[in-house]
Amino acid sequence: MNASTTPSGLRAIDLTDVSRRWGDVRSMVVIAAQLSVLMLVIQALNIENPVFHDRVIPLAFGGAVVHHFLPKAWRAWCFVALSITGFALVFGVTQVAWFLVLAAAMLAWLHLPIAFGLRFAGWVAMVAVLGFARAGTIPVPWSGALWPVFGSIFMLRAIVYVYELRYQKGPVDWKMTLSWFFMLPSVSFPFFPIVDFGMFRRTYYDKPAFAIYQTGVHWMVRGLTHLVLYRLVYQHLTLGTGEVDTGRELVQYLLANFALYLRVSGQFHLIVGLLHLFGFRLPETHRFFYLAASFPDFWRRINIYWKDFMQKVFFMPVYMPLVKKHGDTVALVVATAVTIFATWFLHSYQWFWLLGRWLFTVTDVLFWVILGVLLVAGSLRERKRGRVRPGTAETRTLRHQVRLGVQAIGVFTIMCVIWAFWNSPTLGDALALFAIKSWDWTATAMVLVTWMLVGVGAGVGERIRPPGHEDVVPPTAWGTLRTAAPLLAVWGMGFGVVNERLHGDVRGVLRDLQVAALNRRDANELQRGYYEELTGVNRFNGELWNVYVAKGNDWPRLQELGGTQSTRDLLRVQLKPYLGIMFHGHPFRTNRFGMRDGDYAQLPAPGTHRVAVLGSSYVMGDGVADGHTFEALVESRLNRERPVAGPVGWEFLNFGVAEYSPISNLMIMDNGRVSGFEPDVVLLVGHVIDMFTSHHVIEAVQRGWDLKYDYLRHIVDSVGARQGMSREELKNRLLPMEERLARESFQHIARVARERKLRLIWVLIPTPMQRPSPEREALLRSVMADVGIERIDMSDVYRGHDERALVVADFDRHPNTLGHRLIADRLYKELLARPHLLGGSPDTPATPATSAARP
Amino acid sequence: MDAIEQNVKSFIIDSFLPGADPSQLTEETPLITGGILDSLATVQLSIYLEQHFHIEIGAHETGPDNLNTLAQIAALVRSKRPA
Repeated sequence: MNASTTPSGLRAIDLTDVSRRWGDVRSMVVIAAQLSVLMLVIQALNIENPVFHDRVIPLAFGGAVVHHFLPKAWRAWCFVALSITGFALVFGVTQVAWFLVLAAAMLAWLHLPIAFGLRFAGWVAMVAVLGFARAGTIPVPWSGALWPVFGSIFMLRAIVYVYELRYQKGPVDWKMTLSWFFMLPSVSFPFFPIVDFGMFRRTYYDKPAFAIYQTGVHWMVRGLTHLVLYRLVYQHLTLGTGEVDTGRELVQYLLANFALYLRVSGQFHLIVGLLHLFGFRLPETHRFFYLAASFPDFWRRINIYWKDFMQKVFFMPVYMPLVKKHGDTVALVVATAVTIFATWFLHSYQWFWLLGRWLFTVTDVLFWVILGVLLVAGSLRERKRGRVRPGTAETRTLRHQVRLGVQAIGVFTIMCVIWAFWNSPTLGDALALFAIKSWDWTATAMVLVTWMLVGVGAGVGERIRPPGHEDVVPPTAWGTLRTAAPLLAVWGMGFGVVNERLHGDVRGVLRDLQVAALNRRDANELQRGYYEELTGVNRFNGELWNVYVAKGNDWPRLQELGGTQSTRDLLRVQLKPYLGIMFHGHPFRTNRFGMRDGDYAQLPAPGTHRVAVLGSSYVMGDGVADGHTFEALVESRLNRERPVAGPVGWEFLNFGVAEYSPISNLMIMDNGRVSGFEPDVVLLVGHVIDMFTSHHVIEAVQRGWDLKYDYLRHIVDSVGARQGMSREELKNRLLPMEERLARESFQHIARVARERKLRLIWVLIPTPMQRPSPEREALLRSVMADVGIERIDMSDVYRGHDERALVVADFDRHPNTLGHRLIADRLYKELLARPHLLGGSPDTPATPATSAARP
Repeated sequence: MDAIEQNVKSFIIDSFLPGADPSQLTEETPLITGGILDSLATVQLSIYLEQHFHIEIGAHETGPDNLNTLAQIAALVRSKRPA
């Protein structure tokens, strides 16, 4: 508050200043109220990731209010402090210290008083060394979790900074430099828009503060709306490439695949909106890109910051000198080619820093080549015919609007198709999409409705909201409330009183909108990725991509640690004997027989009841320590508590090996490995997915292994599958045979068990956080019933528990220690209810026994 | 609006916004961030400025830092002309 001394000696208060400050407080109350509601919505809808909704948002929203009331000179420093606090909240103080050391080293080098060329060369050398570290070639003392964020900040943002340094005049403004490098949302969004440094400085509080804040809130609401729409598409409309058979499915696949990009636009709106709360009035990042009327128009509307980055760093420096020497056409073709090549390379470079491996696929290259050709052709056409810009008289004519609509339909359709190519793992996958078997009226109707929406939207869109609109008219709180109405409705319908009155299907859709979770296809893909080496993940299949970013390269498979040896036949692998390694954070030891278990005698001692436990990684105990697998826990408890009289002791032998399928288990039963230990009972344990075998057969055919069993040879021959075919082709042929493969595999398992006098029980356990398709589960039950295998059904073993607390990690959904304990407790009860399986009777008194040795 | 701004405004309206209401294009209308000047139009404008005002414009000067509004364009031209 300003005050001055009057001639009478009294202090006069400047009422204008008082009024302004009260006005500020009132305006901030309006902003803070909106932010409070926004925070509740973000947390209720679990937007993006826990780091974002539980840590970054409270810090950012609370910080923004405090930040506004600081003197202007302090605000940017406050933002830097909040950003670094955000990093510390997420990564911990030690990791942030490493992060700051690396940042300081890089910035210090870039600002050394030496020639720019030397600084540039040194920076490239630093990036190369860090690249080797990212790839795992050079060990580093900081956590692998730091890489995606570090890469996002210093490997892409630094390119813009180096370019700025080249032309920078005057002293360095460190508060803006550090604000820009450490932008608070970076900690939760490794896939971050390339914010231009010049723009970042230029737009800082260049308009009234509350207009900037209100715009930020408005954009965050828009971003959230995009993200909720994305969830709707992701959970209910996406299809896998192998699921496309009909015209309707093809159209659905193309539309849903393109619509998944809503996640990127949603995140970018959220990020840039959040930056507005600290005075950074950045322009919009996307502008109705689905309604683009030409390919250059598409390039200008989608990821506008990337376009600006490319234009500044690559296009203009190539185009400007060339246009003067060689004319427009040569300059345009060469500059566009350079820009597209740089875009392709930098996307792969970005992929490397985020995931730890380069993205070089034929479909990726093909996409950029096609887009580059379309961009050059479109630009040449625009240059020849001229471009109708918003605000001109022609934009208001019906003829122009119709033409715009028709062009937009063409661009949208072509983009849908090449987008499908881009996101297909292989060219074969992409081409297989279009080999549909039928086309019906629903497909035609879907195409026509989409075309109508795009055509009309593009035709009238520019009139309703011309480009530059955001720059001219900032939104009001009421405008934001109107935009937020659908979002608030989704939020409101989640409350118990309202929710209970809704139809079950609507409740199901609402639940999917309110939870960030893998859809069924990606959950299966994650599970299958464990067996098949994941190839289907791409930058727009959202949740799965996130999971893999989080996974990084600190989570090797057992064979990468030398824990298994290949058998070079249909069995695939077996555990090495006498292993003693750390696997996924736990000691992992095997006995002389290559079992993750204690050292048993080959034959059971008299009075011992022996149970062989067969299965895959769940049985082997991926993600838990020695002695904490469910079979070990059950064995210990039986020997400790002796609830059943009869045997002197119980021995549970763990035959589980990661990635084993029913065919592997058939082989170890058939080749005498199991019967050689003379078990009284064989428990074949598995969840629904690892009970199917098509991935195993596909691998066997691809590698040319002997299929060993006639039923496998007949099935493979009947669909014409053979070595040399692409994986997608083999999938297309063999996936339809999955039921037959499962049925005949279990028939053989049952036959071998009978021949070797093994009492076989199938134990069904579920995968935490994942529900298999009811059809597959029903199929499996029917197969087991038909084959006559006795069943212990533990599919509700996790009931009443938060399944997120039962998995090793979000990217590794094996049961953790608690999960194994639950399975063990349940299996113990199930076995007690079947004393004949334990070789005794519960009515006979028991005597204490000694537990078998454990590693 | 001074002579430089007036001159550039005429060029922009004639070249890129034929038929538009000139009063809509003010000193502060965002030209690049508002979507009126795309990359090729920015190059055309730069070449026009070089030829008409006898100045040289580098590729790094063709962004919104220098060419986003008529006021910025005029300032750039003034800074490059001999005093």
